[in-house]
Amino acid sequence: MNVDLARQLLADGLVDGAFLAVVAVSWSVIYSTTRVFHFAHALTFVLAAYGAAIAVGAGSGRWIGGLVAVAVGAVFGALCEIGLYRHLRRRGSTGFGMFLASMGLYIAGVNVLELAAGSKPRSMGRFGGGAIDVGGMRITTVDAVMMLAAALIVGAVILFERRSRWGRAMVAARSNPVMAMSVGVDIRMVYVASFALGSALLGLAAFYLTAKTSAQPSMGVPPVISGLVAMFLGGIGRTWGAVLGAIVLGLSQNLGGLWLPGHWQVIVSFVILFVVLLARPQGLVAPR
Amino acid sequence: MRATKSRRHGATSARTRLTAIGAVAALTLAACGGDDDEVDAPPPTAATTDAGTSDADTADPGTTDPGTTDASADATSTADGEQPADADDVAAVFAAAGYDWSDVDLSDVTITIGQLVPRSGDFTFLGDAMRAGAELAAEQIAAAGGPTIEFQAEDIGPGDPEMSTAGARALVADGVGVIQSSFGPATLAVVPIIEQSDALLFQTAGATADQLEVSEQLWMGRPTATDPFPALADYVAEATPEVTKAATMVWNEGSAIASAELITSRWTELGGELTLEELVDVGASDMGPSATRIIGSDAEVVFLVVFGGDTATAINALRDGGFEGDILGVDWNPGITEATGGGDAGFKYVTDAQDATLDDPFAQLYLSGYPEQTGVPIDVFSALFWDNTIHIADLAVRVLRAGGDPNDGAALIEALRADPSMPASSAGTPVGWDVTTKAQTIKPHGFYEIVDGVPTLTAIVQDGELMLGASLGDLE
Repeated sequence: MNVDLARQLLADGLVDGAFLAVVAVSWSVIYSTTRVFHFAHALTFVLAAYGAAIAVGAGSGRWIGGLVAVAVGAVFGALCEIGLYRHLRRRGSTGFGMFLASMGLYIAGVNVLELAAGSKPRSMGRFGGGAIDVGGMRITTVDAVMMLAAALIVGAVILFERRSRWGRAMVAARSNPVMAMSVGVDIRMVYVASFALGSALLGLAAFYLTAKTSAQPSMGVPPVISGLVAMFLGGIGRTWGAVLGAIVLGLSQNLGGLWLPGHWQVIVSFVILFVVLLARPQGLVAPR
Repeated sequence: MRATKSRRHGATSARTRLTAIGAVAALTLAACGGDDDEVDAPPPTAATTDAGTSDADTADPGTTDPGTTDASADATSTADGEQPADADDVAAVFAAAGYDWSDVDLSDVTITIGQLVPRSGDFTFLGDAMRAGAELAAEQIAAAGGPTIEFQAEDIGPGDPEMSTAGARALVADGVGVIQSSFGPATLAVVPIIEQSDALLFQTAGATADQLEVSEQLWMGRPTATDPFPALADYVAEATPEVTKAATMVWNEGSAIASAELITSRWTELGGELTLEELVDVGASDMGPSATRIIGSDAEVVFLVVFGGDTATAINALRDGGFEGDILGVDWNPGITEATGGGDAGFKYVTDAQDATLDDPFAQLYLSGYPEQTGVPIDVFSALFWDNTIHIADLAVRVLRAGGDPNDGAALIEALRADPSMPASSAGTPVGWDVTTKAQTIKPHGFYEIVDGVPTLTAIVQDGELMLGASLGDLE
């Protein structure tokens, strides 16, 4: 085995795991609370990325671009709940019906975006900063900052869920929505807040990926699907589970590169999900 | 109670079904991508695969720069040529270049050209460029007293063979006699359908070696991949003979893989070692693992066969991973300099040769006319469709001279076979075809290096030969 390669792939895996952790937590906040298979999460990702790229392209600073990505994500996520899922829920739509509607929204949205903004990649320019060498592992400054930010974000979400009134309401809605309503939790607002928070987190992830590459209409699906896999892998309903699932996924996708070509990453994800769910259907971290 | 529950359940099911049907309808509408089959004009949108926007102030005066036509500059005035002021001038330029159609009355002649191009998906920007180039040619042909040309464009998505097949069926059903296609697999897929008609099929962009001698009706609209790509290996062997280990990073797509094989074959023929062949998905946002594997393979040089924004993603992934060797590829656009933060300095690539300063009035019709018309710089794909549209117009005139129907594909093929050459192109050179393979010959490729964000022509590739230091002017 090439030890240097393994070491670098390990570092890459941790970077990817941190990125996927943010995406997986965003899924966890939405799916665990509302049980909506929100495929249009991928559209949120793309819109947030374009929001950031357009803002930076218009001359605003990059941090403003990051805020725009978060804002676009939060607003679009909340609108999805208010404008689509709430109505479907009221009309008795099944989970599958919501999934189809969500997929339709994604496809229509991406096509409209292409018509409006073109399919040409939009860059925010290259983020400088060079790279850091840690024990023979090379990590760019942008990636290092992202890992730190991901740790802070995940910590903040967990604190929010445990300490804040809204966070506890979300957790209650996950466990038993009827009981939560009976004790005065406004489920409708909790759902809106879940979509807004989860989508804002995804906006941050989209900002990072746009900084690394560029905004493109098709950029949303791969990371969002990987984040979904990570959430299932870790166990639905547990934020820590989503984080653990993301790190396992990031490491395995990258360390798989010791033997497999890089474009097999997605296949590795699903094989791991398949194997883990066979052995532990509840995911790596069992719900309470 | 049961009846009530049943009715409620039935109503809920009906609503669910309606929701599902609505979603499927939305999916279908979205997937159709809107207007596919109307005869229309392309929008003047961005084309990113250009051979360069350049600032004359920053260009090295000692080199030949492929593009001076910044949209903000006065596109009508170039170093050596100007756009003709009126139709008589355009006709004179066409005639002087060898496209003299004055002996034929073309006032009532209309030719319909079918197009199989991306109008949805990640490559829409390429399709827009292709259509814009063809549309410019049609306007100039009309101004030169040539036939009226109408286009019937069908969407092939991101080079999707199934969409291409559906588009080809529509074109054949409408009796279109000549078709411009793009993307290798998408073109190969339509050959059986084309063969059910008499249509002439030009593989106008994306030609690869596996399309040669496939059909009597499939002709290449650009120099085939057999010409330029091995020159990347030649360049490394010649310029840096101490480099012996190479890796490739290639789109996981048929045409790209075929092109990469040409490079790797030449590299190993030259005695080089191939350390890794890494495939990456089209539009992949994370090429980090592939870059790490390449670096781990101890490659000293990397050949990229990816296009558009993926070139920037690949360069970033390699440089982020600490790769310091040469990176060579097959495509570049100004957005790559922005997306890499200048990390594309020294990047070398080979593509169809373009030189916006070329002293050739006919070539200037495209080189100056395209930026003026669209507001974006020249690019390879619009140039290919510009050239090909003029070639089709000339073939149609030849058919008319022989008393035939200019919309008859068989007659067009016969005319091409009888004289497989065209007198001029946007590269300032004639164009020819090998009637056995249907490959396009003569038209050269350019080898460029990015210097300060500007592509600088460093060599010409013609007939598979790398000519370091040559320029398009040297070929005349």
